[in-house]
Amino acid sequence: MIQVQQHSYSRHSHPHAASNETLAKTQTRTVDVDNVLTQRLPTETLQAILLLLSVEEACELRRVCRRIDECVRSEAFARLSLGRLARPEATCTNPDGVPLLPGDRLWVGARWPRSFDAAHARGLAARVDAGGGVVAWGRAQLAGCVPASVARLRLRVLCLDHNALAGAIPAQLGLQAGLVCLNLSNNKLRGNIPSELGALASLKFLFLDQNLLDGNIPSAIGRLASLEKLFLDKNNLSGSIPASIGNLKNLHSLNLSHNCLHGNIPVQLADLPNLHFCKLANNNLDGPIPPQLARLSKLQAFYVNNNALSGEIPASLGNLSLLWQLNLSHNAFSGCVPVQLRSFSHINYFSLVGNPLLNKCVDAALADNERLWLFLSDQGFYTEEIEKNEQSEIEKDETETRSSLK
Amino acid sequence: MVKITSSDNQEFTIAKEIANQSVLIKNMLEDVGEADDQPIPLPNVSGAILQKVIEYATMHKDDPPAAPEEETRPKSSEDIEERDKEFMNVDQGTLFEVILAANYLDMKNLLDLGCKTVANMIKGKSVEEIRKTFNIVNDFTPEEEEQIRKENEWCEDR
Repeated sequence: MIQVQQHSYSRHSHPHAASNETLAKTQTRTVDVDNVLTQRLPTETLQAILLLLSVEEACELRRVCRRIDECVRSEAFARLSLGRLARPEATCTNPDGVPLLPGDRLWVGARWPRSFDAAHARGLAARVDAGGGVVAWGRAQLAGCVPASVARLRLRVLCLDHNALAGAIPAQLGLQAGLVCLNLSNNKLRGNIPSELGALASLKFLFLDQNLLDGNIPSAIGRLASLEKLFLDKNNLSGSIPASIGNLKNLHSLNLSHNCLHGNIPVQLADLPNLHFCKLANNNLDGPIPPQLARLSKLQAFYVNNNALSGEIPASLGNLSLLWQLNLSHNAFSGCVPVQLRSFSHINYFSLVGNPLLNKCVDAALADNERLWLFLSDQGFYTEEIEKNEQSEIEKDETETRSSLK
Repeated sequence: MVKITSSDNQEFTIAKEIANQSVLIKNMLEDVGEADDQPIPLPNVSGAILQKVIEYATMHKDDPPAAPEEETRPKSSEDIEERDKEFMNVDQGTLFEVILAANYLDMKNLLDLGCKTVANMIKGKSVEEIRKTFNIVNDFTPEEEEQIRKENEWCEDR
């Protein structure tokens, strides 16, 4: 509601002259003021002023009068707040690139409640009403548990990352059928990943990384047909990588590194036509790299370092023409570096260090790929030819020394 | 030079680069063309306030144009130049009249300055102090105010 008073501004005609004495205490220069702030300023200007305050201050100001309350609660104000907070370093408040839809209600806060219990969730429910909302409370010093009641909210985005939330991930979150982004990363969450999350048919982004989660990765994760990013890294997850992961046809990024996963790299990983980034590093994975992974034609980065992988490096990896980062270091690979890898045209990081069983003599043809050769030679790999040359250099040196001694 | 007249018929003659800091006047000048010698009427701004606005525009006539990224950078009310702080050291009535004029004349920098000044007046004050400072009538019923207080309770940092 915008109240525009048509009468011209006059400092002697307002009806609150009685409060002059009290006013004089706070206003040294003005004895008597008209309420321009909430009665004559256009909404955009009032909003611009409120945006210069912190979210808490703006919320507190709701009590001043109806005009401010309406202004703070408005959709436009929420959007402007988001724009203000959505800086690149604050990805938590820019809900992971999920575009806001008309009707989304957004509540962002820099310092919201320290404890996040059921009572707070009720308050939350009162604010995020029907129509699919966004809760972006990253880096908000939240403690306590993620209340199961949060499942009663109809959300599209739930970002509670970079807080101190403890306890388990409530299985009821699986009831949030409309959820597109679930970001609980960087907390102290414990227990298993509930298999109920597999019911989130619209989920595109699942970030549970950097918590204390344990147990297996539930096979039900393969039911998340819309999933594009799956980050479960830096937890204590064990068991093997479920074969059902091969059902995630839209998966773009997968990070399972820094866990305690064992078993083989599932062949089904090769069934992810959109996979661009894959990190499985720092686990206890064993067995060979499935040669079928060569089908991942969009793969740009593949990290399997610090595992117990063995066997030969598949020659078919040479088909991964977009690959620019390949880390196979600290494993138990054996055999030779396949000459087919010379076709890596984008490679800008390649590591094989810490594979003691690997043959350090590589085919001269690999030296054709200068970038690759740089990495190989840096890690102590030599072509047979160079080795021969070096050998003859040494022999030459020796004969020279001998002849000079004569 | 450009002639402008205030709501109380005071006429001001100002340099074009000063007049052009108001997008409203700039557009008007483009519409009427160079040749027109008629003063531009500004019926929403009094002479006293127009004087103040011209003072600001003169002070900032040599400012470089704002970089586009300034738009997206979060603003801070702390970020005020010393000379602007001095300029805004006026009574509240004048402050708001300047803000309204800046809004009408479409002078973004002056409007930003006004908003920052008001935000700084709000900061650190209690609800009651804010009502007193700006002479705002509490138009909530006690029940409504209590409801907001409850809603806010759980977001207070304790």
